[in-house]
Amino acid sequence: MTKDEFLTTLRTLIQDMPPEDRRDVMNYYTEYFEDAGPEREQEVLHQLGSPEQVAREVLGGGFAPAQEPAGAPRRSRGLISAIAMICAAPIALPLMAAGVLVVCCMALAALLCVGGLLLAAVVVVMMGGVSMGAALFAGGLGSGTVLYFLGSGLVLLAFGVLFVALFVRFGVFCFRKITDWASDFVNRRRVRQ
Amino acid sequence: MTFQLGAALLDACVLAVLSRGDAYGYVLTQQVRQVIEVSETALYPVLRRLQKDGCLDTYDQPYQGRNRRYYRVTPQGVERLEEYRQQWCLYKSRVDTILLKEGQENDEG
Repeated sequence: MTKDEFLTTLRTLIQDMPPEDRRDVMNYYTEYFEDAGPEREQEVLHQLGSPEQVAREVLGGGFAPAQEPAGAPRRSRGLISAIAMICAAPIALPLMAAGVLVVCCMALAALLCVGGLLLAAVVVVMMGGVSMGAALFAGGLGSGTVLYFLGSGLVLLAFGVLFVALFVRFGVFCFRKITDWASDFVNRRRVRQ
Repeated sequence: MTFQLGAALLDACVLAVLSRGDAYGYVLTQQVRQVIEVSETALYPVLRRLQKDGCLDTYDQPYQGRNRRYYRVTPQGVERLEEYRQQWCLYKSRVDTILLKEGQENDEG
């Protein structure tokens, strides 16, 4: 890079500064090169770093980059999207209804699964309880029978606990998913507006 | 060099150098750079800051057919330099008590 390239780039980068400040900056750095002398031009370029670096330091006092040109004013944007929504309604409305229906079915299915698990858990625990109870009364029939009833009762109880655990896990999972989808839906609405 | 001057210390050094004699940008930067590494390029932001605070002002002198801008310390700048000097002595002694003293009362485990 040469001194002139450096200075030209720098001038472009700081063009949004107030004219007086911009002139001060350009004068300072132009003089800087000239005072160093042509023989030290490369040394100075090395010292100063890139024009971008210098511009950043110089702009550092709170100057913001140029803003994007403003989009269409808010009011006309609203009108246009309202018209678009009306035109799209014949297709959009049934689609939305279908979507809602799908969600409801999925919710129902999840509910049935969860309910089923709970039911299984309750039944199995009851069977386990009955079996263990039978063990108490079967004392007269011999220790083998008692052990059989006791053992099978415990196994059934274990399955019951497993079903309860699954029920809780699955239930929490479904609940989370539903709340996630719900909040996504609400947020998407908000962002569009 | 491991340590770098913070903004305040840099201001102080620039004021100190200028209090010994007016200088223009390039020479001033070289003088400060000789002593310590400066992260800022060419000191322009420092000089502008000090100018805005009223610690420096500038004047132009023709040189070889162009203008050379000199910086000089104002009375307010002299005051500020004195403040910085006092703070530096305090700061330096505090750092010394931690950094330079060998292991003393740290074995109270």
